[in-house]
Amino acid sequence: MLSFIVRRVFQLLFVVWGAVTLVFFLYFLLPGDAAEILAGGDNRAVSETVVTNTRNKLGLDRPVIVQYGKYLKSIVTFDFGKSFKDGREVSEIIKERAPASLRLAVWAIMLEASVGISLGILSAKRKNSVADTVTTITAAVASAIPVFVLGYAFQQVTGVYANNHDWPQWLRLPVQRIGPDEWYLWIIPSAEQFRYLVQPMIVLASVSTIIVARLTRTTMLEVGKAEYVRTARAKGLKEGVITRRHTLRNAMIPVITFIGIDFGTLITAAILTETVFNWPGLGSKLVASAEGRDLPVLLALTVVVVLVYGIVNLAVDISYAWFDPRVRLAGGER
Amino acid sequence: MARSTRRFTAAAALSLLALTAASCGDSKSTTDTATETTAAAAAVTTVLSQEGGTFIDGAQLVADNLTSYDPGLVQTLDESQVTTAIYDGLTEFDFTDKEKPVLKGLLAEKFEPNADATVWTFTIKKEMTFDNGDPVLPSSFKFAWERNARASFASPYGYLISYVKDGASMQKENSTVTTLDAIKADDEAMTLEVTLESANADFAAIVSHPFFGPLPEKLVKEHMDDWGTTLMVGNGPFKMEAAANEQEVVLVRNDKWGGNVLGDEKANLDRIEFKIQKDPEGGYTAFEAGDTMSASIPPGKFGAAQKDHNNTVKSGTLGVYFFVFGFKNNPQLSDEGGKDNSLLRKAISMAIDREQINQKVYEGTRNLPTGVVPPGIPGFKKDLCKFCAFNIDESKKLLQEWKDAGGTLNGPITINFNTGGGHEDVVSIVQENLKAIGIESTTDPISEKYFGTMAKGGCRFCRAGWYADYPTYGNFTLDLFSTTAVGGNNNGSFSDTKFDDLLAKAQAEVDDTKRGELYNQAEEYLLNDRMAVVPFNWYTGDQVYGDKVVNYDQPPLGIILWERVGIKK
Repeated sequence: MLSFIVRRVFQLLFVVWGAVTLVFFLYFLLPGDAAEILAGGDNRAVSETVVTNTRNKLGLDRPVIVQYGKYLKSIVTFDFGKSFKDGREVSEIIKERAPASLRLAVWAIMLEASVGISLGILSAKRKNSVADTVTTITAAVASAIPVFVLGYAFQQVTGVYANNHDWPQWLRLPVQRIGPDEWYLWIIPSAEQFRYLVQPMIVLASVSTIIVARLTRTTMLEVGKAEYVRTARAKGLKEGVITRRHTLRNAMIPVITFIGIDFGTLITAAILTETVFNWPGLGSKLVASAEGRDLPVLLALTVVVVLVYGIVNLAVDISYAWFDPRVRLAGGER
Repeated sequence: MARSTRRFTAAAALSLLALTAASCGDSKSTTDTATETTAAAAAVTTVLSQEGGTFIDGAQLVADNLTSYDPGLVQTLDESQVTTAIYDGLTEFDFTDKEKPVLKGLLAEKFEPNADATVWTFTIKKEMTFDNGDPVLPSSFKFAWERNARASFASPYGYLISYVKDGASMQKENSTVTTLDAIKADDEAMTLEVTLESANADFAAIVSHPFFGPLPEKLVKEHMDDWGTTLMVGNGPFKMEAAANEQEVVLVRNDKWGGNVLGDEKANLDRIEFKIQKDPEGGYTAFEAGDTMSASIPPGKFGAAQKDHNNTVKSGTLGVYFFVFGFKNNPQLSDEGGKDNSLLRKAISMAIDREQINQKVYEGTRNLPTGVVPPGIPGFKKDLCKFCAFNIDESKKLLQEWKDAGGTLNGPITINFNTGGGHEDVVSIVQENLKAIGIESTTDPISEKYFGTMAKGGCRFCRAGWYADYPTYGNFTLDLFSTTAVGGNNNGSFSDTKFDDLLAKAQAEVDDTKRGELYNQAEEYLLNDRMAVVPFNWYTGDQVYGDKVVNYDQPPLGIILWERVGIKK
């Protein structure tokens, strides 16, 4: 196990280097003059003097390879420098954004896993029943609704309509922002914080919950056909025991894989949800830094995104060994 | 409390005095005057009785428009809302009469030019302080200007220092110049003497821009270029509660504030929370949900906003939406090669149905222009442009005159505009209008580097817009259409010696009335002789605010008087 982890860590570092290098050189291939855009050239004509001074100030006048060396060194020393846009320390920006993304993603995953797996088990156990049909139809409808439409609908009902019709305060939810940012043990929101969290959490988890439910149903039905399950039934074990001890653990491997990959996506690419709810996450900041040609922020977030995906995938792989003791992470015979 | 009691008493006395004064004169004017005076007194009373409270703003700050609130780096109106709440400058305009604003000293007790407006002397008020108690001195201004103007600082408004003698040397690439002898600060006499590069009678108005505000030298030197990322210390009606972040900017009342040009000595609000929005649509939803007290009105919602909420749509602001003709590499429309296509340009201008555009694209909220320079600019004169109203018969007549003089169009004219700003609808109507007089056109939508492309000679008939940096006639004429602005904001590369000479005379004229007349002549020449620019509309306010909010308005310059905003108890 240890050698497996060490090997994966080294692989991850190589992937980080590759991603940063690719993004760095792609930056210089983007259309437009970064210095002019950063000097405000998107909205008005900017004098050559201001553009030149901006280019010099940000170090964009140096040869690309020199800039590359400087950024590599900064990443290795975890000194990501300052934002081109507002001069703030990039590390401060990450400290603000990363927890917001992580917390939202954790809660969305918990909702996705608990509701999705439960619905999937229910559908599998009551195949072709009314419950199964309702779940299937709901899944089809829910997955067809774009995330931003769902988010907007929530805002209109619990925010605008509620305000205009004087709903009681406890039924009204804030339509945007992260709120007071109050958490216990880092992850448990205060009551007021939960009012800000609940809508983006539901919207973010909506599509994935349906996928988890359908995937769980499919794998449960597949595993349910296995001979050892028939044997367990023949031996007289109760269905609940069969589900818990035999079918569920085996059915979970593909589901865990999906949830693991999805967790990485929810942390780093929840752009639509973050935009609709003005949630200060990493995804929207990544897009903004690319559009705004903010190279230090863009590179730092690339590192964060790759590390998150890498760590999550490593955790998923390690969890296989727990779900299925037959899995050998390091390969080879026992 | 004592100060509040004195102010109530003063208000009552003022009201009584006003009512007494109003009782003199003829009966009709007495009634009118009494009504106006009572209303004015009531307004003053309303202001004074709404002290306290926290205003949650959702209108001013949109994330994409924000870089820094540092007065040396501020470049958008969004940022200026915060910066001008924290920093007061030498002068400020009193927009009580929006059509006739008056420039007054803010930190400057007085300001006067020499005979030919090449040297300005500002006498700074004594006992003015920053919010940490440090005194505001003439050297605070000299330090700030020199710090903001360094080439290495790369201020977007660094070019403003070029008004000062030798200031341009600070802006040159890799310049090591860090001080200007032309700025003389005498902290004993409390004077700031500035020698200009050339005569400029508008300089006192130009220094109202945040770039020319004061900075606490000792503190700023510790952070220098990073000042904007810290908890900035200022001298305005409000001060920062904490360093700005990407979610909000929170200001609290500055009890050391020296007051404004309107006579206010204390801000009403305890606190302002500027919430940063992702976009105006999200901000408007938050307002309708009751999460904020103000919002920008997104496109398409002006009708509903005016019907359902208090709004500032009727307030004219100092901005103009226009198209310019390219005068470089544009033989079809310009006067290159000794031709005179002014009749064609006039015909085009009169073919454009500005009211149709206003109704269909802006829901009837913009003001139709009678010139380029909007009302509210000192010296403004109505109805300067003879060719800026829609008149299809006159347009056809002018076109025919042009053809009779030998004019021919060898193909459709090109209309340039930047994408993503909702200009497609405007251009579509323009094309229909031109077709109605027999002129075919094609469009050239540009998504990247639009203004840079236009400035470098790409303009044929190109869209532009301008919002005042500072309320002067020169900001709408010199900065947009003079030869010195070619390659910059002069998108059409228009260059005319007579126009430049008129502007130079205006800038050197110290008498306000005569200066206004000279600027009027320049604008008339630009529009009626050369027809270099086609104004489409003047901007208006675009915000809504809650029922409990008082004294919320968008003045012509767009900067809200935060010290006056209040919340009904």
